[in-house]
Amino acid sequence: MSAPAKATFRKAVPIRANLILSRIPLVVPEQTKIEQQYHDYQNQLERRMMWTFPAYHYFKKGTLSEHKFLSVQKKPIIKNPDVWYPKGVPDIQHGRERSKAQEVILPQNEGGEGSNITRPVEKNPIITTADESGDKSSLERRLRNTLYLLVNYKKTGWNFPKFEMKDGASLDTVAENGLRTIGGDNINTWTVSKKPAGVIKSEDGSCDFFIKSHILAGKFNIANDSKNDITEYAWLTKKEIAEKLNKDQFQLTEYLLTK
Amino acid sequence: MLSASVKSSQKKSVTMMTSWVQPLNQVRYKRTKTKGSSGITPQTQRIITQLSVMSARKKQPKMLKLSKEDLIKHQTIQTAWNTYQDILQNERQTMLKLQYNKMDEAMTVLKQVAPKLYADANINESGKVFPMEMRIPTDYPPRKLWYYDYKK
Amino acid sequence: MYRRLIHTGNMNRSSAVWSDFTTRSKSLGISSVAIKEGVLHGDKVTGGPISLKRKTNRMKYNSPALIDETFKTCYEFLQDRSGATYKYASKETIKPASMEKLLVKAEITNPEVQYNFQFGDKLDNLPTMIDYNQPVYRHLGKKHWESYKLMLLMQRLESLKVIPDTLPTLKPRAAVDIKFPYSTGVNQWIEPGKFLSSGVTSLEPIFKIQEYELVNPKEQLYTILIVNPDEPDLMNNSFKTTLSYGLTNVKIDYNDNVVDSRKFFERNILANYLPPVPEKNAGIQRFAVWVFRQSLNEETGKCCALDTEAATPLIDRDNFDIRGFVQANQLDPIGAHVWRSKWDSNVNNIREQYNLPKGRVFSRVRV
Repeated sequence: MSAPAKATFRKAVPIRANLILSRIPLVVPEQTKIEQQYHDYQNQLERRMMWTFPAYHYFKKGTLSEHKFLSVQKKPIIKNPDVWYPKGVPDIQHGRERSKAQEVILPQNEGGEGSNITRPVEKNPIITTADESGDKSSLERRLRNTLYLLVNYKKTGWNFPKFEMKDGASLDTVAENGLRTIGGDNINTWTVSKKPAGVIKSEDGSCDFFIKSHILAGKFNIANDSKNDITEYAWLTKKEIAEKLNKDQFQLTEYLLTK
Repeated sequence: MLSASVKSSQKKSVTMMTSWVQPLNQVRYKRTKTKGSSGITPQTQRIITQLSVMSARKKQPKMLKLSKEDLIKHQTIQTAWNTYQDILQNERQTMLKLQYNKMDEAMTVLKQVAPKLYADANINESGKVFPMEMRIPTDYPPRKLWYYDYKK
Repeated sequence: MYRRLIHTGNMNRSSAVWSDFTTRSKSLGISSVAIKEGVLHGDKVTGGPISLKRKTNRMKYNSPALIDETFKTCYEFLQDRSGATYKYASKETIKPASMEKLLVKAEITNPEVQYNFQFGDKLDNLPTMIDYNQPVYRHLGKKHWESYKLMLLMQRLESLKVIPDTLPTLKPRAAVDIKFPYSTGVNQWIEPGKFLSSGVTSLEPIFKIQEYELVNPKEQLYTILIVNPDEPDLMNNSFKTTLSYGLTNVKIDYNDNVVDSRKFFERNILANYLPPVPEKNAGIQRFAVWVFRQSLNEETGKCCALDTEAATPLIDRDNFDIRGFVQANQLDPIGAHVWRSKWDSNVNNIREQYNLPKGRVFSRVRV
């Protein structure tokens, strides 16, 4: 009985290097309600406890800029001994009501758009054109999530790109070179480690090792030749991968993916 | 305006008075020097201003006094935040632990099936640095989302 | 009030455990409706925090910005977690000790519980506010006790050498407080180690034994001893321990735990109270109060009661061996207290009152 077992052991096990190529998020994850509210609350507390803004240091007395600055500030209620203040007697130092947060308003320049540092910040949209058109092969989709490269094999369907081992090459070089043979040379990646991040042992004895890598620049493009057994590719989030892969396979690779 | 109100030393002229001299009525003359900053040069004044920027004097807000209700509310908010952070931390730790175990398993399998590849995977990678091209996630996306024109 | 009920009606989910008082104790909520409203839904409607008494102060008061909105989210978050804990606690068959921990975990983040505990009187507690039957209040009470009073007690016991002069050591598990409430005494809880005049101590003290651990109050019996280890023993050129007071088989509750004349009868008295009457020039005398749990029978769960009629004649009050007594009766020391007395001009009156012999007067030279 032991002879055939030994024979199978001697026979080289087919090994494949799988590449988990990820695009890290471009935008920080959305804050939850509790995070948002807690940060706002702390911010308000901090403002309340802040020292008074020393305007006299920044604006010399009697200058035009001082006048400009002072003219846009909101004037606090001043203390008058003959007046009853139901909300408490004003306590003003350096033009600030001490029991409240100070609001410092910067004077806005008229005109001269480009040079004005106080102009409002224009925020770019987080939902991109690729999101709207549903283009899954674009790297510019789902800016808040990590995207992973999945390719559609003619025979086996959607999967991570996998490559047969060549003689003498290590797992990471096989994965990196393989990616360039199927996707073109103009792609900048950074492999995290030479060590595999995971393994799937199939029933026929073959092993799929997973190498993690990040795409930094460039584009993944399938070469259009008949030899290629890949029909299409997609950059997908973890949720979308769960739909594309079959259930067993997703469960085996789930821990490698982030939200 | 500032703490520059260093009082000029008002020297009192000492008058010799004896009992048989009639006391003179005090005479006030017109003030010739400005009050306060009389003896201060502009340089000194500047230093005083700069120091006062760093000093807490007259700049500190009133102490925050919370009512009983608000104190409890504040404590509850902090407790909730700590609990929330604990949950996140636990999730992260369990994920990392799982990933480490899987990596360990992969290396063990690799050692069994392909000792050569195992040796390759164990080559020391010290000195390997994080790529500078990698972008840190920001609150809002950049104008140019992705750099496609990379040429090998 | 009705408006509020309607308002909260739609969020009455299964996890809104903290607003459901059908099974939970009333003490887990704030008893004052107005303050409860202020804590849970903000003071904007009521016009300032109700806990401020004067109206002008209420008008002047400014809450920190955004506190109410943030609190609401955090409250729901914590309440959901508490709901999950309650669900877990109800589902499994859990040991009492773990159950206690779970119940503490479920309620300790509740702002109403925190309000009650932080602003309620922890020593003379109102059971409607701080109910020590609730595990969470016991837990909070224990933490509060450990933060100061326990350390103070141990410092006094050790620096006054009450341990090891009376018993070898003590690991306190219950807070013991004493008070001399009668017309001669001071009507306040005594700090450990305090000097008390003989007039104050002329009548027996009352004890408050606050248990923080999970015990069975229906069965558990307690023994209280007051000993004086500083009685001069001229024969041996030393000191001997005398028993000033002894109570046994006392039953207390988590809340109703003041041991005074309501709590015991003639049969509970091991030794009648003899007030401190230090003799002149005999120095300072320590009076150590020891509280013991009587041993429980593991099988029946019953507590072994001390037979006073049999035990009393065996006790030698003038030369009391407290270590032997504790060992013989399997007593478990859980708390202690100490005060000090010395001779004052009132001692003779006290001696007359109790028909005690006239005290000796010590001098430097032994006659």
